[in-house]
Amino acid sequence: MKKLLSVLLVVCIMMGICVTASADATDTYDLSNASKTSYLTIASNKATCTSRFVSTDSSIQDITIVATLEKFSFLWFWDSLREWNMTYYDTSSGTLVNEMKNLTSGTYRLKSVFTVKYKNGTKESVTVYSSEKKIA
Amino acid sequence: MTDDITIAQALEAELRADIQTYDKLPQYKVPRSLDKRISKLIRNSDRVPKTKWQHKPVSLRRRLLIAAIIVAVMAVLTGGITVITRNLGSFTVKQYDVFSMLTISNIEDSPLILTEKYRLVMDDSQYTKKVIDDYEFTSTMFYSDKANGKYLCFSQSVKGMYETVRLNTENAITYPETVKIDDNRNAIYFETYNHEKVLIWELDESIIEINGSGFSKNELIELSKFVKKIE
Repeated sequence: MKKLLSVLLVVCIMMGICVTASADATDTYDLSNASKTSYLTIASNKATCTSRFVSTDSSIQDITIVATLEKFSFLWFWDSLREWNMTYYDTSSGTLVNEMKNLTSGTYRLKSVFTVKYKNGTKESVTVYSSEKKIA
Repeated sequence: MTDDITIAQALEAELRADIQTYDKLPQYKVPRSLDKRISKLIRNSDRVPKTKWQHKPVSLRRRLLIAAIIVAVMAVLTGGITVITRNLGSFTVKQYDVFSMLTISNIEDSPLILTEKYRLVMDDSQYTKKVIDDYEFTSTMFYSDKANGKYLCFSQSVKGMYETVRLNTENAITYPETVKIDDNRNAIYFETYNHEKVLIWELDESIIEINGSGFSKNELIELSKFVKKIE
Protein backbone atom coordinates (compact mmCIF):
# COMPACT_ATOMS: atom_id res chain seq x y z
CA MET A 1 0.00 0.00 0.00
CA LYS A 2 2.77 2.40 0.98
CA LYS A 3 4.69 1.52 -2.19
CA LEU A 4 1.63 2.26 -4.29
CA LEU A 5 1.18 5.62 -2.57
CA SER A 6 4.84 6.45 -3.13
CA VAL A 7 4.55 5.68 -6.85
CA LEU A 8 1.41 7.81 -7.11
CA LEU A 9 3.17 10.63 -5.31
CA VAL A 10 6.14 10.51 -7.70
CA VAL A 11 3.76 10.58 -10.69
CA CYS A 12 1.93 13.57 -9.20
CA ILE A 13 5.19 15.42 -8.61
CA MET A 14 6.37 14.77 -12.17
CA MET A 15 3.01 15.91 -13.54
CA GLY A 16 3.11 19.04 -11.42
CA ILE A 17 6.61 19.89 -12.57
CA CYS A 18 5.77 19.29 -16.23
CA VAL A 19 2.54 21.32 -16.08
CA THR A 20 4.27 24.19 -14.31
CA ALA A 21 7.11 24.07 -16.80
CA SER A 22 4.78 24.07 -19.79
CA ALA A 23 2.73 26.93 -18.40
CA ASP A 24 5.25 29.45 -17.30
CA ALA A 25 8.79 28.31 -17.24
CA THR A 26 9.91 28.86 -20.78
CA ASP A 27 12.06 31.71 -19.55
CA THR A 28 13.43 33.06 -16.35
CA TYR A 29 13.24 36.75 -17.24
CA ASP A 30 10.49 38.66 -18.95
CA LEU A 31 10.83 40.70 -22.12
CA SER A 32 11.14 44.43 -21.87
CA ASN A 33 7.83 45.14 -23.56
CA ALA A 34 4.73 45.83 -21.55
CA SER A 35 2.16 43.31 -22.77
CA LYS A 36 1.86 40.20 -24.91
CA THR A 37 -1.39 38.62 -26.03
CA SER A 38 -2.29 35.12 -27.18
CA TYR A 39 -5.91 35.06 -28.35
CA LEU A 40 -7.84 32.14 -29.81
CA THR A 41 -11.42 32.19 -31.02
CA ILE A 42 -13.26 29.26 -32.56
CA ALA A 43 -16.47 29.66 -34.53
CA SER A 44 -18.05 27.20 -36.98
CA ASN A 45 -15.08 24.85 -36.59
CA LYS A 46 -12.71 27.62 -37.70
CA ALA A 47 -9.96 28.88 -35.42
CA THR A 48 -8.69 32.45 -35.52
CA CYS A 49 -5.28 32.72 -33.90
CA THR A 50 -4.00 36.13 -32.84
CA SER A 51 -0.59 36.78 -31.30
CA ARG A 52 0.05 40.41 -30.49
CA PHE A 53 3.19 42.08 -29.24
CA VAL A 54 2.91 45.78 -28.47
CA SER A 55 5.73 47.85 -27.10
CA THR A 56 7.07 51.38 -27.19
CA ASP A 57 10.59 50.27 -26.25
CA SER A 58 12.91 51.97 -28.75
CA SER A 59 15.74 49.54 -27.97
CA ILE A 60 13.91 46.74 -29.82
CA GLN A 61 15.19 45.96 -33.31
CA ASP A 62 13.19 42.96 -34.54
CA ILE A 63 10.37 40.78 -33.28
CA THR A 64 9.71 37.20 -34.32
CA ILE A 65 6.36 35.66 -33.48
CA VAL A 66 5.84 31.91 -33.76
CA ALA A 67 2.21 30.88 -33.29
CA THR A 68 1.23 27.22 -32.93
CA LEU A 69 -2.31 25.90 -32.77
CA GLU A 70 -2.35 22.95 -30.37
CA LYS A 71 -4.93 20.26 -29.67
CA PHE A 72 -5.16 18.47 -26.34
CA SER A 73 -3.94 14.88 -26.56
CA PHE A 74 -3.88 13.22 -23.11
CA LEU A 75 -2.61 13.91 -19.59
CA TRP A 76 -0.53 17.08 -20.13
CA PHE A 77 0.40 16.45 -23.77
CA TRP A 78 -0.71 18.66 -26.65
CA ASP A 79 -0.37 17.95 -30.38
CA SER A 80 0.80 20.73 -32.70
CA LEU A 81 -1.64 21.13 -35.59
CA ARG A 82 -0.15 24.05 -37.48
CA GLU A 83 2.58 26.62 -37.00
CA TRP A 84 2.92 30.13 -38.39
CA ASN A 85 5.81 32.53 -37.98
CA MET A 86 6.62 36.08 -38.91
CA THR A 87 9.49 38.46 -38.26
CA TYR A 88 8.85 42.18 -37.97
CA TYR A 89 11.96 44.22 -38.75
CA ASP A 90 12.77 47.69 -37.41
CA THR A 91 9.69 47.85 -35.23
CA SER A 92 8.71 47.27 -31.64
CA SER A 93 5.19 46.02 -32.29
CA GLY A 94 3.54 43.34 -34.37
CA THR A 95 0.37 41.29 -34.66
CA LEU A 96 0.15 37.87 -36.30
CA VAL A 97 -3.34 36.69 -37.26
CA ASN A 98 -4.03 33.33 -38.93
CA GLU A 99 -6.92 30.95 -39.43
CA MET A 100 -7.39 27.21 -39.59
CA LYS A 101 -10.58 25.61 -40.84
CA ASN A 102 -12.26 22.20 -40.47
CA LEU A 103 -11.37 21.60 -36.85
CA THR A 104 -12.73 18.45 -35.25
CA SER A 105 -14.09 18.10 -31.72
CA GLY A 106 -11.59 18.56 -28.91
CA THR A 107 -9.82 21.17 -26.80
CA TYR A 108 -7.56 23.72 -28.46
CA ARG A 109 -5.16 26.44 -27.38
CA LEU A 110 -2.78 28.86 -29.06
CA LYS A 111 0.88 28.89 -28.15
CA SER A 112 2.60 32.17 -28.98
CA VAL A 113 6.37 32.45 -28.73
CA PHE A 114 7.64 36.02 -28.88
CA THR A 115 11.34 36.47 -29.56
CA VAL A 116 12.78 39.95 -29.36
CA LYS A 117 16.13 41.02 -30.74
CA TYR A 118 17.49 44.19 -29.21
CA LYS A 119 19.70 46.75 -30.89
CA ASN A 120 22.57 45.71 -28.61
CA GLY A 121 22.38 42.19 -30.08
CA THR A 122 20.76 40.36 -27.18
CA LYS A 123 17.74 38.11 -27.66
CA GLU A 124 14.93 37.04 -25.34
CA SER A 125 11.92 34.77 -25.73
CA VAL A 126 8.63 34.47 -23.90
CA THR A 127 5.82 31.97 -24.43
CA VAL A 128 2.19 32.88 -23.78
CA TYR A 129 -0.68 30.40 -24.03
CA SER A 130 -4.23 31.42 -24.83
CA SER A 131 -7.14 30.17 -22.79
CA GLU A 132 -8.45 26.78 -23.90
CA LYS A 133 -11.42 26.51 -26.27
CA LYS A 134 -13.56 23.44 -26.78
CA ILE A 135 -15.43 22.10 -29.77
CA ALA A 136 -18.16 19.66 -28.75
CA MET B 1 10.92 -62.44 28.69
CA THR B 2 13.87 -60.38 27.66
CA ASP B 3 15.16 -57.33 29.47
CA ASP B 4 13.95 -55.08 26.67
CA ILE B 5 10.36 -56.22 27.01
CA THR B 6 10.54 -55.77 30.74
CA ILE B 7 11.83 -52.16 30.36
CA ALA B 8 9.11 -51.36 27.76
CA GLN B 9 6.34 -52.64 30.03
CA ALA B 10 7.70 -50.58 32.92
CA LEU B 11 7.83 -47.39 30.81
CA GLU B 12 4.29 -47.98 29.50
CA ALA B 13 2.99 -48.42 33.04
CA GLU B 14 4.72 -45.20 34.09
CA LEU B 15 3.30 -43.28 31.10
CA ARG B 16 -0.23 -44.50 31.77
CA ALA B 17 0.12 -43.38 35.39
CA ASP B 18 1.22 -39.90 34.20
CA ILE B 19 -1.73 -39.64 31.78
CA GLN B 20 -4.15 -40.58 34.56
CA THR B 21 -2.58 -37.91 36.81
CA TYR B 22 -2.86 -35.29 33.99
CA ASP B 23 -6.53 -36.14 33.40
CA LYS B 24 -7.23 -35.55 37.08
CA LEU B 25 -5.85 -31.97 36.91
CA PRO B 26 -8.54 -29.12 36.96
CA GLN B 27 -9.43 -27.50 33.55
CA TYR B 28 -7.68 -24.08 33.01
CA LYS B 29 -8.25 -21.71 30.06
CA VAL B 30 -5.45 -19.22 29.14
CA PRO B 31 -6.85 -15.65 28.88
CA ARG B 32 -6.79 -14.23 25.34
CA SER B 33 -4.87 -11.07 26.37
CA LEU B 34 -2.17 -13.18 28.00
CA ASP B 35 -2.00 -15.34 24.90
CA LYS B 36 -1.50 -12.21 22.74
CA ARG B 37 1.23 -10.88 24.99
CA ILE B 38 3.06 -14.17 24.91
CA SER B 39 2.76 -14.31 21.11
CA LYS B 40 4.13 -10.77 20.84
CA LEU B 41 7.07 -11.60 23.07
CA ILE B 42 7.86 -14.65 20.95
CA ARG B 43 7.67 -12.59 17.72
CA ASN B 44 10.00 -9.89 19.10
CA SER B 45 12.50 -12.44 20.26
CA ASP B 46 12.50 -14.01 16.78
CA ARG B 47 13.41 -10.72 15.00
CA VAL B 48 16.91 -10.31 13.66
CA PRO B 49 18.67 -7.28 15.15
CA LYS B 50 19.12 -4.37 12.70
CA THR B 51 22.48 -4.03 11.04
CA LYS B 52 24.17 -0.76 10.14
CA TRP B 53 23.09 -1.22 6.50
CA GLN B 54 19.40 -1.20 7.19
CA HIS B 55 17.57 2.15 6.65
CA LYS B 56 15.22 3.51 9.22
CA PRO B 57 11.72 3.30 7.73
CA VAL B 58 10.32 6.72 6.69
CA SER B 59 6.75 7.37 7.72
CA LEU B 60 4.12 8.25 5.14
CA ARG B 61 3.60 11.66 6.73
CA ARG B 62 7.28 12.45 6.37
CA ARG B 63 7.26 11.26 2.74
CA LEU B 64 4.33 13.58 1.99
CA LEU B 65 6.17 16.47 3.63
CA ILE B 66 9.29 15.78 1.53
CA ALA B 67 7.16 15.62 -1.63
CA ALA B 68 5.47 18.93 -0.78
CA ILE B 69 8.86 20.59 -0.25
CA ILE B 70 10.14 19.25 -3.60
CA VAL B 71 7.05 20.53 -5.44
CA ALA B 72 7.32 23.96 -3.78
CA VAL B 73 11.03 24.27 -4.62
CA MET B 74 10.43 23.20 -8.23
CA ALA B 75 7.54 25.65 -8.55
CA VAL B 76 9.73 28.49 -7.28
CA LEU B 77 12.56 27.50 -9.62
CA THR B 78 10.25 27.36 -12.63
CA GLY B 79 8.49 30.62 -11.79
CA GLY B 80 5.12 29.05 -11.26
CA ILE B 81 4.27 30.48 -7.85
CA THR B 82 1.55 33.07 -7.62
CA VAL B 83 2.68 35.80 -5.30
CA ILE B 84 -0.39 38.02 -5.27
CA THR B 85 -3.83 37.85 -6.85
CA ARG B 86 -5.65 41.16 -7.03
CA ASN B 87 -9.05 42.08 -8.33
CA LEU B 88 -8.90 45.48 -10.01
CA GLY B 89 -12.48 46.17 -11.09
CA SER B 90 -13.43 43.68 -13.77
CA PHE B 91 -9.77 42.74 -14.20
CA THR B 92 -7.81 40.20 -12.21
CA VAL B 93 -4.06 40.45 -11.98
CA LYS B 94 -2.09 37.40 -10.87
CA GLN B 95 1.36 38.59 -10.00
CA TYR B 96 4.15 36.03 -10.34
CA ASP B 97 7.82 36.54 -9.69
CA VAL B 98 8.89 38.14 -13.01
CA PHE B 99 5.59 38.78 -14.74
CA SER B 100 1.84 39.15 -14.21
CA MET B 101 -1.13 37.58 -15.96
CA LEU B 102 -4.06 39.88 -16.63
CA THR B 103 -7.52 38.45 -17.18
CA ILE B 104 -10.93 40.00 -17.57
CA SER B 105 -13.92 38.34 -16.00
CA ASN B 106 -17.06 39.61 -17.74
CA ILE B 107 -16.43 38.43 -21.30
CA GLU B 108 -19.44 36.12 -21.54
CA ASP B 109 -21.75 37.33 -24.30
CA SER B 110 -19.35 40.16 -25.16
CA PRO B 111 -19.12 40.78 -28.91
CA LEU B 112 -16.36 39.14 -30.93
CA ILE B 113 -16.05 42.19 -33.19
CA LEU B 114 -15.72 45.87 -32.41
CA THR B 115 -19.15 47.45 -32.66
CA GLU B 116 -17.87 50.97 -31.95
CA LYS B 117 -14.52 52.38 -32.98
CA TYR B 118 -12.44 54.61 -30.76
CA ARG B 119 -9.26 56.48 -31.67
CA LEU B 120 -6.91 59.03 -30.16
CA VAL B 121 -8.31 62.31 -31.47
CA MET B 122 -5.57 64.91 -30.87
CA ASP B 123 -3.03 67.06 -32.62
CA ASP B 124 -0.65 64.31 -33.71
CA SER B 125 1.32 66.32 -36.27
CA GLN B 126 4.58 65.80 -34.36
CA TYR B 127 4.25 62.00 -34.57
CA THR B 128 4.99 59.52 -37.31
CA LYS B 129 2.06 57.11 -37.40
CA LYS B 130 2.08 53.44 -38.28
CA VAL B 131 -0.83 51.00 -38.33
CA ILE B 132 0.25 47.86 -36.48
CA ASP B 133 -3.01 46.01 -37.08
CA ASP B 134 -6.54 46.81 -38.15
CA TYR B 135 -8.95 43.90 -37.85
CA GLU B 136 -12.60 43.75 -36.98
CA PHE B 137 -11.69 42.64 -33.42
CA THR B 138 -8.61 44.82 -32.75
CA SER B 139 -6.83 47.85 -34.10
CA THR B 140 -3.47 49.24 -33.05
CA MET B 141 -1.77 52.48 -33.99
CA PHE B 142 1.84 53.35 -33.22
CA TYR B 143 2.97 56.98 -32.81
CA SER B 144 6.64 57.87 -32.73
CA ASP B 145 8.37 61.17 -32.07
CA LYS B 146 12.01 60.22 -32.32
CA ALA B 147 13.24 63.81 -31.93
CA ASN B 148 11.74 64.05 -28.44
CA GLY B 149 12.08 60.36 -27.56
CA LYS B 150 8.32 59.89 -27.24
CA TYR B 151 6.59 56.72 -28.35
CA LEU B 152 2.95 55.91 -28.01
CA CYS B 153 0.83 52.91 -28.84
CA PHE B 154 -2.96 53.00 -28.85
CA SER B 155 -5.09 49.90 -29.22
CA GLN B 156 -8.75 49.03 -29.03
CA SER B 157 -9.68 45.35 -28.74
CA VAL B 158 -12.63 43.14 -27.98
CA LYS B 159 -12.75 41.99 -24.37
CA GLY B 160 -11.88 38.42 -25.35
CA MET B 161 -8.34 39.53 -26.22
CA TYR B 162 -7.79 40.29 -22.56
CA GLU B 163 -8.64 36.81 -21.41
CA THR B 164 -4.91 36.02 -21.33
CA VAL B 165 -2.43 38.89 -21.38
CA ARG B 166 1.06 38.65 -19.99
CA LEU B 167 2.35 41.85 -18.44
CA ASN B 168 5.99 42.58 -17.86
CA THR B 169 6.24 43.37 -14.15
CA GLU B 170 9.79 42.20 -13.62
CA ASN B 171 11.37 44.79 -11.31
CA ALA B 172 8.43 47.06 -12.17
CA ILE B 173 8.63 50.66 -11.01
CA THR B 174 4.86 50.58 -10.39
CA TYR B 175 3.02 47.27 -10.10
CA PRO B 176 -0.51 47.12 -11.55
CA GLU B 177 -2.82 49.45 -9.62
CA THR B 178 -6.12 51.22 -10.15
CA VAL B 179 -6.13 54.90 -11.19
CA LYS B 180 -8.94 57.30 -12.05
CA ILE B 181 -9.04 58.58 -15.60
CA ASP B 182 -11.49 60.64 -17.65
CA ASP B 183 -15.20 60.39 -16.70
CA ASN B 184 -14.18 58.96 -13.31
CA ARG B 185 -13.44 55.60 -14.92
CA ASN B 186 -11.10 53.11 -13.31
CA ALA B 187 -8.06 52.03 -15.27
CA ILE B 188 -5.16 49.71 -14.59
CA TYR B 189 -1.83 51.47 -14.54
CA PHE B 190 1.66 50.07 -14.26
CA GLU B 191 5.20 51.09 -15.19
CA THR B 192 7.86 48.63 -16.34
CA TYR B 193 11.44 48.74 -15.16
CA ASN B 194 12.45 50.63 -18.32
CA HIS B 195 9.84 53.38 -17.75
CA GLU B 196 7.29 52.13 -20.25
CA LYS B 197 3.91 53.16 -18.86
CA VAL B 198 0.64 51.39 -19.54
CA LEU B 199 -3.02 52.28 -19.06
CA ILE B 200 -5.73 49.66 -19.66
CA TRP B 201 -9.43 50.24 -19.19
CA GLU B 202 -12.84 49.01 -20.22
CA LEU B 203 -14.80 51.25 -22.58
CA ASP B 204 -18.27 50.07 -23.55
CA GLU B 205 -17.79 46.62 -25.11
CA SER B 206 -14.07 46.98 -25.72
CA ILE B 207 -10.73 47.37 -23.97
CA ILE B 208 -8.49 50.37 -24.56
CA GLU B 209 -4.74 50.14 -23.95
CA ILE B 210 -2.27 53.01 -24.18
CA ASN B 211 1.44 52.27 -23.89
CA GLY B 212 3.83 55.17 -23.67
CA SER B 213 7.55 55.80 -23.40
CA GLY B 214 8.84 59.31 -22.72
CA PHE B 215 5.61 60.31 -20.95
CA SER B 216 4.88 60.87 -17.29
CA LYS B 217 2.03 59.08 -15.52
CA ASN B 218 -0.10 62.25 -15.50
CA GLU B 219 0.60 62.89 -19.18
CA LEU B 220 -0.59 59.39 -20.02
CA ILE B 221 -3.75 59.88 -17.94
CA GLU B 222 -4.30 63.21 -19.73
CA LEU B 223 -3.96 61.40 -23.07
CA SER B 224 -6.83 59.11 -22.12
CA LYS B 225 -9.14 62.16 -22.44
CA PHE B 226 -8.44 62.22 -26.17
CA VAL B 227 -9.91 58.78 -26.75
CA LYS B 228 -13.05 59.50 -28.74
CA LYS B 229 -15.64 57.46 -30.56
CA ILE B 230 -15.28 57.89 -34.32
CA GLU B 231 -17.82 55.33 -35.60
